Amino acid sequence: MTNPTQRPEATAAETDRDEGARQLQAAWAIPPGIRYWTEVNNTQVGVWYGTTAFFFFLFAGVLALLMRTQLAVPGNEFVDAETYNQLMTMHGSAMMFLFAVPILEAAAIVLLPDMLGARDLPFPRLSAFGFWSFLIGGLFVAGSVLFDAGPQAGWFMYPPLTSDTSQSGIGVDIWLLGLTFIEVASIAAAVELITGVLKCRAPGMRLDLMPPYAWYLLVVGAMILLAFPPLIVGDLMLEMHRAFDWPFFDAARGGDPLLWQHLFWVFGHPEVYIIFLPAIALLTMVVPTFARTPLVGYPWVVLAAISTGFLSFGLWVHHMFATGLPSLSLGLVSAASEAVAIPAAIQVFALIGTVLVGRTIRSVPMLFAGGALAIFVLGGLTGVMVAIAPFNWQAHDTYFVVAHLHYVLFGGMVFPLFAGLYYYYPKITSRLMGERNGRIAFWLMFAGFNIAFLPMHLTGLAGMPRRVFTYSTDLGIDGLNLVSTLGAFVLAAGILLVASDAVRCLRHERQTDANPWRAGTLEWLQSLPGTSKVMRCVPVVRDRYPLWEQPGFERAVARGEYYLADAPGELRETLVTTVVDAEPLQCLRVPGPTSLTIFAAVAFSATFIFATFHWTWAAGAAAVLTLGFLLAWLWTGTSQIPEEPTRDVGLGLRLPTYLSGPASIGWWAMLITMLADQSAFITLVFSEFFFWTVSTGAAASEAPAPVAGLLLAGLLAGAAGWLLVAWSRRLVGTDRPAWAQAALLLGTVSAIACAVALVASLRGAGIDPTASADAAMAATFVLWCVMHLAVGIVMLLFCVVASRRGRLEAIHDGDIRIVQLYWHFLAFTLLVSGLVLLARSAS
Amino acid sequence: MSPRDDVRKGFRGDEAEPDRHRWGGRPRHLLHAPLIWALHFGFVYAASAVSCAGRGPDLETTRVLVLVATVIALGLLAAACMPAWRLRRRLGAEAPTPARRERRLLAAITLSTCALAGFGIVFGALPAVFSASCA
Repeated sequence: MTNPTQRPEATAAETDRDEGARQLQAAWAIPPGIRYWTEVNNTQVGVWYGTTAFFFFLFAGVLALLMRTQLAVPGNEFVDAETYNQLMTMHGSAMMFLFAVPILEAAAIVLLPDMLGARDLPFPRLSAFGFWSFLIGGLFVAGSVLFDAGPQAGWFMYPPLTSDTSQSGIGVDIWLLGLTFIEVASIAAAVELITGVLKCRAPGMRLDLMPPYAWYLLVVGAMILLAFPPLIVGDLMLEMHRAFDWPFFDAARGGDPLLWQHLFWVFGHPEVYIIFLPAIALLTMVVPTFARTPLVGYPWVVLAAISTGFLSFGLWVHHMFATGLPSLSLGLVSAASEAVAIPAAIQVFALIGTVLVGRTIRSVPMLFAGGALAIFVLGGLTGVMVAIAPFNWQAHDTYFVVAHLHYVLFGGMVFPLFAGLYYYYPKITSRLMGERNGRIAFWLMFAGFNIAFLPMHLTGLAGMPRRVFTYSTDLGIDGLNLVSTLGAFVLAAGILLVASDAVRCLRHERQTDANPWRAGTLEWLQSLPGTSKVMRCVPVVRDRYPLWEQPGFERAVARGEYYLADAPGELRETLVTTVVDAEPLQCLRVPGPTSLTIFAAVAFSATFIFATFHWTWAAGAAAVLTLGFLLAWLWTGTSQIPEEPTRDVGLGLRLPTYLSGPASIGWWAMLITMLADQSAFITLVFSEFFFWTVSTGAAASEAPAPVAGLLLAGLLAGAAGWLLVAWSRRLVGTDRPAWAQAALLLGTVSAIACAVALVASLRGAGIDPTASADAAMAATFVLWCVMHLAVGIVMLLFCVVASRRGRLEAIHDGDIRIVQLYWHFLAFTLLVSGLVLLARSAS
Repeated sequence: MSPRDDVRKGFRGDEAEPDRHRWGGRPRHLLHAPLIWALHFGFVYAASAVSCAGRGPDLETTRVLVLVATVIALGLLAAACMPAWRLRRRLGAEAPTPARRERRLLAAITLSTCALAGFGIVFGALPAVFSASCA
């Protein structure tokens, strides 16, 4: 018999639990009506992001079908050469920039919070801003092809074709500016992912207990930081060349078109791995579930992820084997290109090993996983072939390369993504996709892909160059091309079947339970209804597969027995933990819905779009508007001082709600952003060095030097600014706001003086950026410093206002510490730029 | 185990703080091998580019420089992986705890990245041994 005295207590506990769940539902509710679009939660934004990217995939696929239709028979007149050029350029660009990278980032922001046991990643508004920028930029770039204004120079935009405005139209500007800010959005996503993986894991989830997916995304985040900035710098240089005639790529004025190839491929090759790693990462989640066993060789897989990451930066030159570089360089890069096959193979063997060790269940995701490995291995083998320079010279710019890259990308990205789509569809929609249609779609896609692309190896070896809009019947490749075209349509039929099934199954009445595949990882926990799939509570993790290995885990989570099981102020919160031990550190307030991110993204996009059409004033106005929205966002959304200094998160633990410096996630975000910024800056230094190596003979001494005295004065002013920022932080730390504000204002004055001196050092020496590539480089260094000083000034003034409003004090010094971190990097940038320019005077 | 009992033992593990400190095996050590590889790669690439552009030492000297750089890089790599090697052996001899397992895994990954970076460095230097042309 039940003890009557215990009953009221039990009921009270249950009432508390229900109340906690209600508060959480209120805090994390998706806004109703039109305000739905103001939601910023990563899971929700990720679904929009992924769906948009999938539409761009279908769009770019249609372009491919148009190309294959044109190439079905020799001498075809279905489209003309100009249109064909737009089709092939947009196909490649859209597949890379509008589909592959964004859809994997989308998958990551949907999956990572749940996989790590976080309610949300730390900067949801940043993700939302990234999404809206991507949507607008993507529509702008993709839409250009419908108005016959698309870029035509191939997805890697080689100058001098693209630097010559008389030969290439506005399409190139649309490409350069449209994609640049999508790249900025990618860097924003990388900041989110790295901070999320390092600082927002569930308590107890040590580094060795992280799902392999998280390791992969950590590596990919780091790769984005190093790989995207060189392309952004390249884009800006090429746009400066086109718009203002700064002759970076004009050989007649000391420039070199090859520089673009370096900058593009030092992005472009890691890019292949930036999309391969997160896709294969999906397989490391899919395969263990269906093999009913933990992933085999977890440390090896982590090793493979890391080493693919770094080796991929030594491969860029293998896209340039035919440009006449020294054989010593070719040998070095050829060796690195072959070495990267080792980590790639480790991953394939780990997945095969998992299947062999486990008791594998047949399913559609596993079909796609198997297809992925088969195709990827073939692509990898031809990859080793084209890594060998002499073979590369034969196959360069032929259909052999087209076949190779599609094998790698379909095996390494598209098939794993579809495996992930079938696997995670029930997580997102609570419904299963059709098994029978899935199998049919897989075989259509697998057969169609091989029918389309296997013959291209032969077409290429027979001598068909890539990117031609037609070919002669004399080459003897009519049959092969026809087969490829037929295969392309079969492949498209398979993809269409998947897409239609994904839409059809949304309407299924029967919902699945939270974990239909009986998987072992956190993302399959029951989530709170009525929210963007947030967890009932933040659990404690002691195993790589807690749902398999921790008894009673799912029930305890569903009953809200772990951390943060309520939300007293109906505020969005998540836990921040330490990097290594994953020990709870802070209860972080996560920002909720806002329309500011949409406005900021619209203004930001407008800046770039207006710049495309050279509407300078409109672009400037949009830039000012962007700054305004960003400041409003910063002021209202970041570094808020919480009402309570601590919060009881449950299980007898009380955590601070405010942290600053290296313990805070904002500081980490600034550090990561500045690493990307430094990567861009190193690209500039590399470019200077590159021009130095190409300007041999008499041209060598002509590099114009700025006035050394003014340059030194500028550097001193910059150093003064840096010291003043350090001093003001100290003053904030001792709660002397008036003095701190004075130091900040003096710092601002120093920064302005530094910028003025730098510009004067250029003008004083009469340096005209249009005169030569060296002059343009000098101007670029100064421009780079001035832009960074401007950002630094805005930060200092922001701190002055924050201090006056009482938001900057010794215990709440987050803002000034972040600003100081920025200034450390700014000082380094100034110092190196100064040294580079002084070295010119010295020689 | 109930969640309340589970968190009672904390998250750091039973090890004493100075002991943990001596372990090393921090996540940032994972970056050492990639960094050494990158520096070596950058040096070899830059040295051959400069030499072949006629702005630096001649090709024969460059080949010697590449070999010297390779020896230095391998030495640095050995130095970088020694702590991980010792840590792995030491932790392997002790009873496994969550904290020890984590550090041991980090050490293992550090070691294997060193091995792969070493392979990459040697492999990348081979052309300097066998090839001697700027063509």
